[in-house]
Amino acid sequence: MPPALVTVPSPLFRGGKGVLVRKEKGEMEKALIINPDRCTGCHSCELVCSLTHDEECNLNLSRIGIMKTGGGGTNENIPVVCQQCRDAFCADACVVGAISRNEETGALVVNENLCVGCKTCVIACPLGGVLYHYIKACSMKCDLCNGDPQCVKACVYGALEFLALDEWGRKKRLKGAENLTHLFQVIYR
Amino acid sequence: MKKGGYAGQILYIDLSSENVKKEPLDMELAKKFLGGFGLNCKLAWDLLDPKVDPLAPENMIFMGIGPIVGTAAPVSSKHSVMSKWPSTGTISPGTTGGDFGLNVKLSGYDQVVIKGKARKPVYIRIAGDEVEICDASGLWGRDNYVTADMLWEKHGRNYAALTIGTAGERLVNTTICLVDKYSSWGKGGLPAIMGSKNLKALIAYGNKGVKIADPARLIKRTQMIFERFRKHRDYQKLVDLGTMDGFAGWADIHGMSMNNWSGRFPTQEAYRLYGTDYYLENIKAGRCADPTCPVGCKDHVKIKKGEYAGTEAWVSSFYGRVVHMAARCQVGSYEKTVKAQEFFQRTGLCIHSYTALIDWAVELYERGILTKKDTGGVELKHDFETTMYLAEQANRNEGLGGILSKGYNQAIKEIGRGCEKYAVQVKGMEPLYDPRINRMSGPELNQVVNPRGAHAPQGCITLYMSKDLPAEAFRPWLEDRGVPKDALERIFSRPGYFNIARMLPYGEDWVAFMNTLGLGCLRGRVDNFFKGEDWAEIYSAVTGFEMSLEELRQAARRNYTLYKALNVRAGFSREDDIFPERWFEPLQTSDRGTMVLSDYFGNPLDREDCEKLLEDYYDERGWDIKTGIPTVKTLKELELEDVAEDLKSKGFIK
Repeated sequence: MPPALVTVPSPLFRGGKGVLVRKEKGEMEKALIINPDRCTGCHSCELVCSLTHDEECNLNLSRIGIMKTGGGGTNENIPVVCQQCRDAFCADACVVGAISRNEETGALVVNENLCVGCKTCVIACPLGGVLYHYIKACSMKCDLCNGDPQCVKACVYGALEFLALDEWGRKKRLKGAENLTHLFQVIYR
Repeated sequence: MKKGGYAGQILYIDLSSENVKKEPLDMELAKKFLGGFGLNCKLAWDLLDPKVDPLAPENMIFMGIGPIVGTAAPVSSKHSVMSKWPSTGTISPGTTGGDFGLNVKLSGYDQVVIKGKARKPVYIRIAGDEVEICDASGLWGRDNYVTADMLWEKHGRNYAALTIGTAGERLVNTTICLVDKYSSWGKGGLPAIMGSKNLKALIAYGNKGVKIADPARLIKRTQMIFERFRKHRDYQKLVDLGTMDGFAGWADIHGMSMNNWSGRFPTQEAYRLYGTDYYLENIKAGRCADPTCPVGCKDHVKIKKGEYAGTEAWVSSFYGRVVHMAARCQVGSYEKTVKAQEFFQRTGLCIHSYTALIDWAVELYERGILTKKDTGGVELKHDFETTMYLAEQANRNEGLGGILSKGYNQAIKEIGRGCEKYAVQVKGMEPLYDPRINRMSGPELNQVVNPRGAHAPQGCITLYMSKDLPAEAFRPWLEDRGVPKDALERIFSRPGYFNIARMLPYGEDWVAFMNTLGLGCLRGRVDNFFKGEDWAEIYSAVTGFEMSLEELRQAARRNYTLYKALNVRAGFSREDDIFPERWFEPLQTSDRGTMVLSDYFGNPLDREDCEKLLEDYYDERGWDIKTGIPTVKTLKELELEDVAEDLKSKGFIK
């Protein structure tokens, strides 16, 4: 006889929601920003990521993945990595509360001792940010390298940036201004 | 001590018997020849019959994935192939970047050796331990782009696809393979060799990892190099323009010969038609880079307007290939250049080789050596129509285009009528640089002595790019790259002067070393922000074998000498290291006056001087001055006793 279905109660500990220590100190939160229009698909970030976390270079054990589409080239390569959601699907989905926020760095991290390897978080994440570590047999995801992401250092093209959120906002606005300027030049020339 | 870098396996594939064999890599051998190009030389020496017909099933394809390929080390992308090329008959290497080597390495193989001939079209799928020979009947007859798309459709985009185009299937010699549509591999006819084996493609997906002996040490060095790159003055230019950053160098400083080496492409024309602004505005669509390479030298281009709007191509070392279409074929506009490139890339015709042959054919036509009877009633001119006409013929391997596409050696025999007088070639391969324009620097001289044929990259001495540096500026570069003191004395024999022939071997070894380990070179662009010590540090950190720069240099010299010995056994000697006749004629240019063959310092060189250069070169290499063959003493110094014995027993040396 098959075992009776058990409804898993929503875990009491909602790991996704935490208050950043940095924010309390008045510091701006930083985020790992991806710029697909600059990604050449050189795999540097992936190789350095797995090297940092697993002491070997392995595309499948990298927390970040460059997904190439078409013939490859900028705009056709999309870096896929955890976006450290505020309300995180992975943390909500975790039945044992193994995913929690590091309050120093803002990263959602997997507690490998608690993780039971049910892979629900992998299923839950709509962005492909959580993967299953087939050697350690537990979930793996970007932990922002304790606030100093190695992938960003390895990306010379600027496809990955680690920026304070206000700085990112300014940069995006500046880019928008450039686009508009270009548009005006076309219209009014 | 933990070891890393090497995957530890050699993959042997026999297409005749459909036998796939995996053998462990002998680590002592790996230490001696390092890997990549070096191990290719060693395996070719042991396994390949030097007199084999290049298109026979017995010819073998050796693919070498160096120890640092697949690691996070900067520019760790180059993988090297070795075979007997059909266009030249030399046993020589070709290198490429692209994701193929990375995925073969991550599948767990350092070397792939392919021989035999499949009964029907096949492709090879490598995915970790799984290696299978698959039916390619649906792919046969498709061009490079379609083949890659179909393979990705079937197996997933995570595979790296090494494909041959339609020209390769028809055994055209002047062809190249493409990796993932953009990285070219095997100038001299790798596709023809694969075509003769009924091998349409190889695809690889690496689902394993590469162990690293000392991860922290590698990460530290990697960051240091990337940081140096970020601070480099050319950083932003390289990121935005890729190889097009060399435009001004081409248009203004050096230039490219045209009209079959009897003119120089005018600077003004270059700026009018091929400027970087026009490129950014109307041509560039995206940029691709080889694994971990900070210089994205692969261009994704798409024509935005006009007759050919929408034409899309992926081209490696884009700028060089623009130059060929611009100067040799004089197609007349950037759009036509890209249109022609697209056709060459799809069919797999080699832009470097075949444009030179077109240029030569036009001169033969103008001189009346070729007539409308040969061309099929078409007038040959330096224009887009002629280029496409001959390219289409080459793709079908018929008519005049078919004859030309066999390469200089065979085309000279088939055309006859004294056409060889106008062929600018060494060992059947076209040179790239004109020493009358560029002066006799490393790459120019390397074109003459390179065992592969007139192929320049092996002559890499970064600083040659700049033509106005004083002689002394070269010394720190050589010192940094571990060139011994006594050699420096010989190179800088008097103040304000260096002997290029004595400097060249150290540049060649340096590139051989890069191809051996798996480092991308791209001459100055990458080398500029590296130091010699980086390489010893990276090799040691990755593999766990502590080696100094001097030891690595010695291994590179060993590899290069073995490479030479391979070709000695295939029948090449000093008699084949010939300066093309046309270099001794003055070059009449429209905007730079008359240019003559001269050394780096502008002193004219005559035939005698050039022969002296050869002698100095052989002497510096420790090769026999009369024959250009490595001496027993040199071979023994490099621990190549078995090679010395073999050459002795076959009567090449005493």
